[in-house]
Amino acid sequence: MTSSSRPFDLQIKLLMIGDSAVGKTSLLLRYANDTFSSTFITTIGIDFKIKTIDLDGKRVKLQIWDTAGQEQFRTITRSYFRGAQGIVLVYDITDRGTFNSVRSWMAQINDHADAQVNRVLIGNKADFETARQVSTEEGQRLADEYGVKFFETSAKNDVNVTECFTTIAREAKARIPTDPNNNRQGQRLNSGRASGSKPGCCK
Amino acid sequence: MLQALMATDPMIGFVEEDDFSEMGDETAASSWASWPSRSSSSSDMMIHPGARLRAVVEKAKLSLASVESRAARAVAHVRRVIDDEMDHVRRIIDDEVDRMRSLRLRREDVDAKRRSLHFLGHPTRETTMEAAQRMVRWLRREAELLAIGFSDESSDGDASEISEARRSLLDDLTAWRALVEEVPAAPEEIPVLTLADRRRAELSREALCETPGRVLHRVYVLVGDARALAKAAFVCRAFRDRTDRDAAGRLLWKWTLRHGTRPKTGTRACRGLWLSLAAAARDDFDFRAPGLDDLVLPQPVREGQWRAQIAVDAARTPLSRLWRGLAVPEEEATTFDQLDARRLKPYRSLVARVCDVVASTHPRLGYCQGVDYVVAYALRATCLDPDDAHLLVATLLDSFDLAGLFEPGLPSLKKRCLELGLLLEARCPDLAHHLANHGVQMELFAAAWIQTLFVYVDALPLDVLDLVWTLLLFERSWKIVHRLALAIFVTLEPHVLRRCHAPHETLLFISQLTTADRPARRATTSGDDVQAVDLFFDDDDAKKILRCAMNIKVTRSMLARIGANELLPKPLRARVSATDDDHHGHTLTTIARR
Repeated sequence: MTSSSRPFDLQIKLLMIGDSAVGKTSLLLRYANDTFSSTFITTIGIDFKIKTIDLDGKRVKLQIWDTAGQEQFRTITRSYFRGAQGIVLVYDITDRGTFNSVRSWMAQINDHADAQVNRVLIGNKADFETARQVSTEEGQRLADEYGVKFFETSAKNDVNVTECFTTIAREAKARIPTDPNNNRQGQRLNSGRASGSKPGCCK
Repeated sequence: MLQALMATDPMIGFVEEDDFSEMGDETAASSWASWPSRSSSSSDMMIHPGARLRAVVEKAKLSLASVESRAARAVAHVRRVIDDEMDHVRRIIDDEVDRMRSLRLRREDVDAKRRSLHFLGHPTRETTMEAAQRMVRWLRREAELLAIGFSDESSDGDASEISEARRSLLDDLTAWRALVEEVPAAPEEIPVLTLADRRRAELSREALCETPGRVLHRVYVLVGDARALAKAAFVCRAFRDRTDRDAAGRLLWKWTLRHGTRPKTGTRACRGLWLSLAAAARDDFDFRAPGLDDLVLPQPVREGQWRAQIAVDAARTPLSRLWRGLAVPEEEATTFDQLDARRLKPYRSLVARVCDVVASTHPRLGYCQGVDYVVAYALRATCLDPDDAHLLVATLLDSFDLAGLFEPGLPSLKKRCLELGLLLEARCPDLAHHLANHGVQMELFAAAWIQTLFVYVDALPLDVLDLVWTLLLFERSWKIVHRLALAIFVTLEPHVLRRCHAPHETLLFISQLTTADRPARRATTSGDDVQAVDLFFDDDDAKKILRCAMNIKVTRSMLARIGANELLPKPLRARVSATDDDHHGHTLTTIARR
């Protein structure tokens, strides 16, 4: 929480999507809290984390939304596609079904997210090599097809987790002008605590 | 006298929070949750409406010394009278106890599984005399409880009026004792000489049976223990008739479940209560329904499309939290707190089994994440009996519209969130404005709260869940869910308004309730460092939030208005709400009089 009150130059909203139980929450908690537990619980609806990082000399606040993977929740999660500047699409390398769903997730992004949104494809659970069902090459090929970057990560062993988030943040940052006035959200957010003292929003 | 005392509505007393606000926390906090050990101060809250309370407390303080001696005398008198009573019927009772004991053992052998269900609907075999004799035992126990409550009289509240109530009760007891002496112990011993004699004997027998019912009714108003209430209904037909059939009886139940002592989940009493309530809520509820293994499923579950998802989720439902304090059946010494993941595994199959059956018997719903939480909590409440848990979940899904929260498109969820949004606007306009300003939609938090009936909310103590589930089942209305959600918002409001100046701060603060790792100890209760989880930390916080929830008025008529797209009435905004569903002359007076 302390980091949230520090000033920052830019805010980027990231969205994590992918089939149920591929490890979205694990990745997020590894990245935001540097913790891992094999007993992570189901995400119902939407969850939310903040991480402030230094990126190429700028202070960037990442607002990361973690969504429920199951189909039924798309009614809720879909409305959060809009306004996201980066989307982290996760599959599980030990479960081919989740890899096969990547195309339908990409279609979802096309339908519901902003046209210019940055994307990254992630094959999680790379530590579980013996159960692998999707090869690195396949993952890379699919990522190339969509023209997005690809990582194989392990939330458990902390492999590539920071890299993938930094990459998508950097891509989004390059696209978004840092001038807060061009950013509808930044406009309100960048003024940070100062705006809070205005009676308008807190009265 | 008791009737006169109770001629004011305790519900109203409870809802008008403002009346308590000047009382100081302790008085207002004299909570139902601490019954029966503090039943005297709780009775104060119960009997007096908020408006009268302040005056009454002043009066009580002035006459404290005399009140205390009178209270002590009254307690001694209650005990003496009851001891006399017991001497009179000791022989009968000893036989009765033996009979009950053997009966219970037999029933346990024969039908242990369904036993707890029967305590509200036990087939009636007792003769009226037997009923009366059993009543003596119950009266004695409950009166002793009362006496304990009376003896730790505190300076708060109007103790003198309480002792009036006590004396009134005592008068009834004495009168009843006279009746018992008048009537022969067994009906066949009545010498039938003339028609007039016979009639007189019949009359006094009726009176004998009628009076303890009435007395007991009053006792329970003061004791407020759901379990004792159910037991009394179980052993005494006269009392059961009283509590099951008329409005006053239902009101007594309503009051006891809301403000009295409820059985905790994980106990047999709770299982019996919830299943009885579930049974009452649906017509086709069949206690002798086939077990899960015998159930002929409309579609094969094993190969069903939901199988894989259920397996994944059942493996990660937070059982050790949801089954906290619940003893493992085979190893009585261990509880689920101490079970590691490996040893918890066999129990996870219970969750999966129930989810399987739910998925195949509810094709429209199938399986949706969140159902596993509801199932896990139902398993807790039914002491890990998958058949009973399935009945409970199926009832919630079918008769309480829980299925609509999970079905494709989440139709009912939108409705509930809309309702909650409007209620929040009425109850906490500042917070509603703040959330709207920050673009925070109600669905973001409330969806998971409502869908899982708060089981997903890590921060909430299980006591809070118990109340919500009990009242949901009893009231058959979503009022209590909204009330708790509003209570959470009310608790968060000052902190959100003070420290969350940007959308992400608001989001982060509120989302802690579901994602926080609970710290070992409370960081701080004030200042800018306070976290949302700190506000729901221990038993006191649980009591606080429950009290808050019970103080918030949400009625069926409000929900109906929202459903009909009508605006909520202006008065609601000032929280001077007319309460349609509590308007049927439902006052404690009614309970006590009948």
